[in-house]
Amino acid sequence: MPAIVVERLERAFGDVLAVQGIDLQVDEGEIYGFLGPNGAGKTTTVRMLTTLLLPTGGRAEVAGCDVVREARQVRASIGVALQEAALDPLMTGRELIRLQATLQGLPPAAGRKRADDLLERVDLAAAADRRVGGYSGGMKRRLDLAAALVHEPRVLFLDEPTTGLDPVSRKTIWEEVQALNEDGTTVFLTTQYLEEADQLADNVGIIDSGRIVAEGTPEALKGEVGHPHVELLVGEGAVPEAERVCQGLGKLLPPKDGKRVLLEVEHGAADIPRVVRALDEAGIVVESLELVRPTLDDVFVDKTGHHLEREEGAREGEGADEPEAEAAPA
Amino acid sequence: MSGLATSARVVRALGARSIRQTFRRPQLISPIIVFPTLLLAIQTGGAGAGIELPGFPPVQSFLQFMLAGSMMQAMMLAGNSGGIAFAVDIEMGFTDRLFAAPIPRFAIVLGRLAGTAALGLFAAIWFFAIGPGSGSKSNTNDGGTTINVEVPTIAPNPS
Repeated sequence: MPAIVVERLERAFGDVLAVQGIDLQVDEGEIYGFLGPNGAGKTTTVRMLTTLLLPTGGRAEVAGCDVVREARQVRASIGVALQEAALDPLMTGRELIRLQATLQGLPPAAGRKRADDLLERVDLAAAADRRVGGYSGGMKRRLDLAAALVHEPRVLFLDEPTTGLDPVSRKTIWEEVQALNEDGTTVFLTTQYLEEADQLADNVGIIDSGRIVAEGTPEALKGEVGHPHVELLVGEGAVPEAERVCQGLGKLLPPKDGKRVLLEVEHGAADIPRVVRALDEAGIVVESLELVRPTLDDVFVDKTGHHLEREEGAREGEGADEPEAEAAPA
Repeated sequence: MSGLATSARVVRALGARSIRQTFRRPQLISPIIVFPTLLLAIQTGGAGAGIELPGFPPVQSFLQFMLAGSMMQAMMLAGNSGGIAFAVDIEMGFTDRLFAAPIPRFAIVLGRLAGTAALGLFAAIWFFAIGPGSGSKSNTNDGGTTINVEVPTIAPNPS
């Protein structure tokens, strides 16, 4: 049974159609990566799926329940960690998890035990009685994640769980998400980081301007935009001869500069020995060799005509790492 | 556990959070206790002789006359503090956590109101304690005292 079914889901804010009739399906036990730039409609979609925002068109089911007509059943089945960790800085970590346990209807004793277990699990036991306001960004994210897990939800929504975190904290969150998924939890993860979607997601949906422009496994999506290519540094003067040798081994791509040969190969790493042997037999010295695989950014460019990561970098540089503009309050 | 019992626990937990939040944020507790008490002390000290004026209500002391006003001031400011705290919750997204939980909406509202009511009660007890402690005598009976405590408990909530 699918954990999430979305059909022609729409959300308008006045004249602005933030989500424009998207369709998607997430199977039980899957990690679904929802990838897109700021303002693409990721957060709005998550808010509709978590019952925080009413759709203006279409329908969605989460854990077998309609998000509008059976909102309460949906809320009992999901865990939510939103983009801006919604943590009260005046509460301690332990108080927050216990409050969340109460909100999810756990009896007091069970709530206390669950809070202790979760704080241990996310490595916050030592800081459990400190106020959240004094936590680092990574600690806040881990606490938010723990709070979302208090009732062992079937479906977990993580809205940009690693945005703004350092690489170590990011890796910790990734490991936790993977561990949760191994335990059978379905994870719906929005992200603007290509690497995150690539590493974690079984399936990826790419959203841009409120529409899903591509969907599939990361490998399949990257396969759609072309084969990997080998980048050979052969030095000036040797390029024409190297290109002649490589002609029969794959498809030559337009050169970057006068020192390199770019050769698209069908089978990736498996084709490298063949290429190296041919060049060696022709007496061409290869100074360096690199296998370059298509990335999800190539997929994004192919589908939308612009880069995702460069755009994000520019926006962050402008200090535009604010919550998405269309993420209106419930 | 029945739905009503669960809701009651949610109300209690949110009320307790609201009280903790107030006591941990000095700018929320000051208007409820500190400012009205200071104002009471200054006015009582400075205008105590006013009770001798012709036509002044028959009271034992100016403190006795002012006490009810200070209590009401504290109640109104408690209501304001509650409203500000709720606005902060909305702004920082804490209410999303509540709205995404399988609890009835009335429990969220009642939780906040319960917290504010408890603060009103705390303020009432505070002024009942400092009044007699500073020489003011209550002329009311037990029933009147109960009403005097209950009104401040309910009063902050409409605001």
